[in-house]
Amino acid sequence: MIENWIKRMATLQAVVIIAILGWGAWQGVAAINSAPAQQRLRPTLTMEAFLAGRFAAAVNYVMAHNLPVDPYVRAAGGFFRWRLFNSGGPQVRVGCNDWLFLTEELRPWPDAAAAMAERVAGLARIRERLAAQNITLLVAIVPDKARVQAEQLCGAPLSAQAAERHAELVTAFRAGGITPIPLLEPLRALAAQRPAYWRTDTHWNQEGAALAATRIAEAARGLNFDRPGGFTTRFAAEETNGPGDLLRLMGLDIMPDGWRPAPDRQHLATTTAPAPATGGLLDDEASPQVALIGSSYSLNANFHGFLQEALGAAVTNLAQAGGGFAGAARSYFAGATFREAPPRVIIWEVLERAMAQPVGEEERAFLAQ
Amino acid sequence: MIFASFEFLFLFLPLFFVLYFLTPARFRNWTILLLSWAFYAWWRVDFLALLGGVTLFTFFVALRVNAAEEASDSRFRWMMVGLVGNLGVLAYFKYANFGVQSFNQLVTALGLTPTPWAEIILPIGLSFYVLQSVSYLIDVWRKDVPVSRNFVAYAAYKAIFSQLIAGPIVRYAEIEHDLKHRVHTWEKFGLGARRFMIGFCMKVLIADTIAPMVDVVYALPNPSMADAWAGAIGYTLQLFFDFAGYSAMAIGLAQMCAFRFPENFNNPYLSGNIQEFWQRWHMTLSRFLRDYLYISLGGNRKGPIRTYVNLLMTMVIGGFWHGANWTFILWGFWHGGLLALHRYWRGAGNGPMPFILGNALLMLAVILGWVAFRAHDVTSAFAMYGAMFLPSSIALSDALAWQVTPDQWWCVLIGVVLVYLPLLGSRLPWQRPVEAMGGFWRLCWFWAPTAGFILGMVLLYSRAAVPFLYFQF
Repeated sequence: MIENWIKRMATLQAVVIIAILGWGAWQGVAAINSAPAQQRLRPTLTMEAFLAGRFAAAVNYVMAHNLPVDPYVRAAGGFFRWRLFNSGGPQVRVGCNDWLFLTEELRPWPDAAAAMAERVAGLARIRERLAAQNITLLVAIVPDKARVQAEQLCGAPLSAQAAERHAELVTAFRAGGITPIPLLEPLRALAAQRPAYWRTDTHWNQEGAALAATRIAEAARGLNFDRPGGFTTRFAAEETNGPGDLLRLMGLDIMPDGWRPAPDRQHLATTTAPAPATGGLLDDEASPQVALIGSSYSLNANFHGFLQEALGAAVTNLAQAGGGFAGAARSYFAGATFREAPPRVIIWEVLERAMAQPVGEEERAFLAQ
Repeated sequence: MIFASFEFLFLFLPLFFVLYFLTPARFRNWTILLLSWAFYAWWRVDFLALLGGVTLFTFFVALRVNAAEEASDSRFRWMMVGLVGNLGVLAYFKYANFGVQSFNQLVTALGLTPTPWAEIILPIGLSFYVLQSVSYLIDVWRKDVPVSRNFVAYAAYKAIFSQLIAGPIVRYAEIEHDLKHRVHTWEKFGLGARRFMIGFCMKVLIADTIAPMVDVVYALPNPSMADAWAGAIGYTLQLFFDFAGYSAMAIGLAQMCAFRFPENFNNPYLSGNIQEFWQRWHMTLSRFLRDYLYISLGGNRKGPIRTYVNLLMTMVIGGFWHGANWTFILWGFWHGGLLALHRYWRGAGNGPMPFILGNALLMLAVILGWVAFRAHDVTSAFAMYGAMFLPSSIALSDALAWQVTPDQWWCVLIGVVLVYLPLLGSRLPWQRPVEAMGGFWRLCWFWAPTAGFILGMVLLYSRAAVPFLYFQF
């Protein structure tokens, strides 16, 4: 009786595993036939590459990245880690109430103090050089989300170094003769009432961005540049999802809302510039006298628009997503925009978490100039 | 190619089964041989020549051993030729780097010029297939097994992909019959698949989840007490679930092809003493060491002192077999010493300890042993011991905390629970004989591994693959 049951189940099991392997074979063959896989495999289709193991490595890569089912499997893996273990994977920490934090903000970095000192010293030199050209440099430190929304960490491990980083950074700036525009306390005050950062994204939200823009504009009040005004910000009537980059890092960007931390919602803000007061076809438009360099924070949540509105002046936004501390500055100072139309004021938005990270060779060369 | 990879699951395995079952029965050993060689050559084609060479050499030497008269010098000489040839290959590839490095350290300390030396790469699986050759030659010499006259069958035995690179160490006698007469049934295929999936879950769901945390701890320059214990316990679990999982996969794959492989693990962490541990851990290696080394050294037949020395030597050689590193020798001394101490304790008339005390002491000893086994060098091992017992700080360090994700902590806990759960025996409905299970648990017993396998594939795809730990040995 039971032997027959086991036999039936084992036979069914055999059929199921054959079905799984058959489906897998279809996935594997489809992956190999895909265009990106063919591109990767083609150079390895030689005897020399085969003997050196490069063909095997290429097939390995294709099978790990190009299966047709790829996005769904990644999403399922992310869902499993998050739902069952409250884990966001290696790049994301899950706080309470669906608040997500970038692990990069929480971790300690080797030789953080030296890296911060090197960057501050470089920035001080740049500021002096700019001053010699009658350009004022304003520096604003964007505090980590984990610092501003610390109540939402709920046990996510904030390292001692990360906890002290902002204060040490301000001290380092002051030692270098630079007073950064204070954004931490205003953002914290805002966060005490309502979120200043997205729950599911590492950046500040529109309210945080607007507040930071206002504070920077206040710091720039006495500076000499034209303020024609006329910038207006409008909010979309319809509510839409926020950016949610941390959901993407968790693999949950394609999951339905009920199966992931609910995305942030926003009435998307858009700032429009006043129409140029020109009369003729060939009138020159004056270049903006304020330039903004920095990180993705300057590109997100309409920060650039809010800043223009708060300053009453056009701002050239040269920030670089993923550029870290100096990526945008390197490109800007080496480029034609700066050479041919130098601004009167440069606002350098400095990302707190980027300041303690190891200094790369290119950045070191730039800072040493 | 590793079992827990998509090129294996989605390309090699389906192709293997299609070709295998399309091949007429009398040629199926050919299919096994050729596809196993292809499996092996996936990493390095040139090392296939070494596998082929060792196979051919051992096959013909065994024929010579068999042809010689019983108890003759010639028979012994041919057996020794086979052993020296096999062990010579192992020694060259596995220990030449270590030997030259040690020699160069010595001559450098004496102010002399070191010998120039290019590092030799260790062919994967060499340790395992050399041990197979040794056991086969000795078994033929002892007439415990008839010599194989069918090269394809013998080569297929050595090369069969499910055990080629990390064991279990299958003796020729154990599958000689299966090589000639295999009876394929849906039942064997399904039960083999179930076994394979259990092993896959052990490796991918538990061992691979813990692996990053263990790697971080063993790379910390100054681990705290909590770091060191977390890493040591994590590795203790990782190694077990990785290796026992691999063995289960190998046994399951073999069963799908109608082979019956020996078991390699039997709840080793539930042992009450070190002797029992070695009867349950890597059982095919343990019995190899017992049958071909310990007994050959005289075993326990030459008095207590010689018995202690034999135990120590057997484990030190066993440790050195794992790799050319002083850490493995330290680990071998540790386990040999523990086995000798246990024998002395029992010899003095002491009965077994209460299980809880015995198991706690055993696990402490095993965990300490695995620290040496895992550490990069002896200095790192002692740094870990220092952190475990004489720490400069107690709490989990920042350097570790940010890198360990909640699923890793949970899997450590789940791993500990899974290790000790069998103690509850038949109180757990799924541990009763299938006949005594209720309908629901019977279905779970059968289908939970399939669900785990699908989940394992999902997790495997959504993170980096972790190679099998025993590949490096």
